[in-house]
Amino acid sequence: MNIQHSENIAWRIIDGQAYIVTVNDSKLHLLNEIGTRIWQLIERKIDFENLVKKLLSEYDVESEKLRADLKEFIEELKTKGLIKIEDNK
Amino acid sequence: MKITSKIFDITFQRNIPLYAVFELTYKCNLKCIHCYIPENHRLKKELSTNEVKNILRQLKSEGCLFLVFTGGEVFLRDDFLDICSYARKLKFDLRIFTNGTLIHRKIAEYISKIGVSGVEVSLYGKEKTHNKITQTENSFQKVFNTIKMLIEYKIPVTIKCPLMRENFYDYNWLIQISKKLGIKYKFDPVIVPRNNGDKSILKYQITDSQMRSIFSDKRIFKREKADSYNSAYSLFCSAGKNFVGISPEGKVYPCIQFLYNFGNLRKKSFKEIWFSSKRAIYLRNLKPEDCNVCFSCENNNFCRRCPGLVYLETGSIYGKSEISCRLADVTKITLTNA
Repeated sequence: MNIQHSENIAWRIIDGQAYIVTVNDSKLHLLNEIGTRIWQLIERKIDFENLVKKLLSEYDVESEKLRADLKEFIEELKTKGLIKIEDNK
Repeated sequence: MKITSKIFDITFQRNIPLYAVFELTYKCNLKCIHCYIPENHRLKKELSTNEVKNILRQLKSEGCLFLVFTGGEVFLRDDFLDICSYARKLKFDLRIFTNGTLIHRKIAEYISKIGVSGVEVSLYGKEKTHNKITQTENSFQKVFNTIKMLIEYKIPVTIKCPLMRENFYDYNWLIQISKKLGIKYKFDPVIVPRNNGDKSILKYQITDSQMRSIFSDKRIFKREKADSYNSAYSLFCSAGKNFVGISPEGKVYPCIQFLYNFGNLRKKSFKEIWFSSKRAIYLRNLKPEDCNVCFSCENNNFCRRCPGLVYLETGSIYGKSEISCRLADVTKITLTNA
């Protein structure tokens, strides 16, 4: 599964947090500190497993817990229209 | 705290230029009677494509998110779509202000593709009224076609209209047509002096009684309580704090209506001008009591003092603006009688 920012968004990181606008409805979204770090890592297309590896190298967290939380977070971003997901071919 | 309030507060406190209005040209193909741009400004040397792109990169790195491109008429620039595309590549939230006469189908398609948060189109009333104000035959038909075309491409459109004696009786029609088309509308009850201080166009301002009827019309202004109006705290607005205006020749202003020049981007970087220019620092350090007359004014609870208008009208940043005072008087009467 490849993850990447959606095209129809505008965003900046201000004071360590990502503020993201979905341009279709001008809705403003805010991510917390860890969410913002993930947001930076998915600016360019990245494979889910690579993302997990990068986060494991940065945060002291169990692999299974990270995978579960990350899947949930990715799903939330997708529902809000902030990212696009492609299945690996 | 709402996300919009949070981002506003942080950027206001830290002077991050979250909002930018970038005038890309003074040139225009219409001759609107109330235009605030003096004729001779149209000859000024505009920023080149590369200069504009360089400024956009600088704005991005200083935290600017919400960007408006305006003019003059922006679509007169051959490079306008290229600039828009670049701004979206830099992930700005982009809005375009236009007179709507130069947009054809391919342009609408392109704008739709790059994704803009809104296109605000000036429409002054019914056909006869609109053409009279723009002093250009057929301008109404072009604008109206553009609005319908933008809607077709699912681009968020807003009809924008300054209210004048010349179009006051058309505002109901404008509201009806906006509702029929399912788009937003914005009215501005204020006509401002030209950028060179020329006040001759103030003759088009609506009368006090027209202004009172506008202020009591809930479709235009949500009724607000007096205490939600100005406080001494906001005698200077967010201009120059988290709001910036940039002129077609690269001047940095607190706002495009507040022509208190901080510096020129052709000579210095944005960062240097925004954070180190004497004027920017001075403006940010002013306290409400520095506006002596307004601070002690009995109407200041009803006033939305615009420092840009004060500067334009008086050449000073401390005093009062006749236009703001008039608006405060009308607001007071309207709210008191509500």
